[in-house]
Amino acid sequence: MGYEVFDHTADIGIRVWGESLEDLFETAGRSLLVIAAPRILVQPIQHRHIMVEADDLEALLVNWLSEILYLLYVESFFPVTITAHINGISTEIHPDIEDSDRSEAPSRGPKGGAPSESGPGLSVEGVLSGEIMDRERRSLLEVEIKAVTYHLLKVERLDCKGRADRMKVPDQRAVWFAQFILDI
Amino acid sequence: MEGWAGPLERIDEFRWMIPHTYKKGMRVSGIIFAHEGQISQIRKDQAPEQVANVAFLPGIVGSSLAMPDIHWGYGFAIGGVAATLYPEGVVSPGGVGFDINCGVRLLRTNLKLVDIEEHLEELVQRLFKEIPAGAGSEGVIKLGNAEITRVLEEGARWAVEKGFGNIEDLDRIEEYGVMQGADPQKVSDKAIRRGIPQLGTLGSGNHFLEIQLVEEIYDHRAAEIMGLEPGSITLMIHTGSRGLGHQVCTDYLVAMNEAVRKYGISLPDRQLACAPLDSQEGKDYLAAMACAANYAWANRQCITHWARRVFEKVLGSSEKALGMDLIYDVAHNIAKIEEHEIAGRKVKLCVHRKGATRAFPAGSCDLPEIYQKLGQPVLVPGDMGRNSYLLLGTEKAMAETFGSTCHGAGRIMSRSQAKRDGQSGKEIESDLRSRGIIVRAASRAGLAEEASSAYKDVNEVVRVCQGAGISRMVARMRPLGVIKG
Repeated sequence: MGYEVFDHTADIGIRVWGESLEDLFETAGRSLLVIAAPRILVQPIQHRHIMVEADDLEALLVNWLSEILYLLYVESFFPVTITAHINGISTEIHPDIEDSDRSEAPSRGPKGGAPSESGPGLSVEGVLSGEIMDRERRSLLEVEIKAVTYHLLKVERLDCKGRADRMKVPDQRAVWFAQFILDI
Repeated sequence: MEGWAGPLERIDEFRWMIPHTYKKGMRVSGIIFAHEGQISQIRKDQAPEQVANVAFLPGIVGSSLAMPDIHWGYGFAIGGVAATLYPEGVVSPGGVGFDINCGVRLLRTNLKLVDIEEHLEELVQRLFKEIPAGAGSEGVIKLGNAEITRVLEEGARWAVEKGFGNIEDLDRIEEYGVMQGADPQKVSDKAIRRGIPQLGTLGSGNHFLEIQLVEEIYDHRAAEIMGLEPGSITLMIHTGSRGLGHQVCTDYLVAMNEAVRKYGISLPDRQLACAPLDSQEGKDYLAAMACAANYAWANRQCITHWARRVFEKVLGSSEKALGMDLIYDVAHNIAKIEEHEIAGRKVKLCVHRKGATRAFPAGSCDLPEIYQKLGQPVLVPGDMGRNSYLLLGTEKAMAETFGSTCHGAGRIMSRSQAKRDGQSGKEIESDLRSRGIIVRAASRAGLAEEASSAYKDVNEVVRVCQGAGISRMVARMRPLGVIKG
């Protein structure tokens, strides 16, 4: 597992690789934190559980990273360890998630359309351990990441790709690869 | 970084076309405003490809446009303008960006350099102290849930009612500081929570507050009406809707990605996700976007108020005596329903400006009385070491760019490259000081990312806008004191 930062004129691009999808999501999450505050020191003494859903892996990664940004900037929670568990949602596993429930949800904000019929939904559950930042530590936030974009977004398996694609990552054990651009 | 080798056909001295035949699926051609010397730079990244991609949007009319400060963004190029037919065309949150109603305002003063020279250091330090800046900065305004709803509905008007500024300020703000159609119910709890602590903060990145000196006047009549003369001191503020806007865009991109499937829209980039203007998703986004736009206007209004207080305290004179009047406030990341003429017929369009400024001409009914005969003031900030401009909107902008022009200098270097290849934050600070510019930044690393060398020369960008006739120059300013996020 690992990641690298690549140049993008207005923003920051990140490429991540991992031996499993979980590994990939965890590393992607950590890469955000290093960019936001490279010099901060926190202990894994408080815990947060998060869960996000999407219909495809790429959107799942954006939603996952957006949730981590929310914890960071709104709850001032800086995680140092992240563990992810990825599930494929189907109505057998989650019979309570149905279209009608979604469309009638009382929450404010955007109301999404019906989930796609093209495939099962996906979810990722995360346990993040770290600390709530006090004022002093908040001042160590060097970069404000506005958002994770869909531009040039990729999540792909490397083991079913040709050798040229595998060369994109320095770790030959890596099975999964992701690329995303942050708006700074 | 990979360059772009697609077709760019010269139309005239300042316009270059990407023909609609370049990519299957382009509904219109792309037009980039630039002079010949800028083309090799523009080809260095994928911004022209993004201009072509925007031409895929259903309902797009005219051309997919890019202003001369064009650079590689996500989805839309920064500097992009696209108009879609209302209501059958689409609205794309990517055509507005994450920082909804990021914008600029300019204040005049009665001051000259001699009046502030001795106080400049103190002014910069106090502005930095009074106006929260930097990543995750929080403001001093304590908003409750009911109060933030009013901010989202009433924008700068809320701020003025609360004592942040004067009623006269409202006249000098695009949309008079309040975007109509705002519905706070369409803004998620998450976005509200991000917005509550941040009202009245600059944020980080390229946001700034600058004390400037008017270096040159090009249009004396216009400058006089705006209360400027050579040597005048001005104050420029550049910030947006902070985390609230970022979250609104993040939330609606999820909804729009579903909408793209639902309405069978085919796009070359997911960041362009969109929905028909008359769909529930489209209407909800515009209502939420208006809330974020209003938050941004309230934000700039609060910052203006504190900046005025700092000037009063340091210079020991009242705001009135200092003549700190707002010249204008423009949004440069926004989508608006406007009426434009196409082939002699008036049509309603949704004009997306992603890093572009509205530039309406004299006589436009959207302008306050004072600017009726002049045209709309357009504010173009440059980098912290060079110039900023005050321009005016023109008839030609109305005819060619849906009443739009450039919004700034435009980056040419990535943030990491600027840090790697350029001067350190500390070097930049002392270099600028030796040129009479005092900089105070929340982060020195952030300062290195904002080095002059990371930007195009704004003078060249403005020269193209003037040459192409999509705006005309009134005044050029240079920075004296800079507060960076």
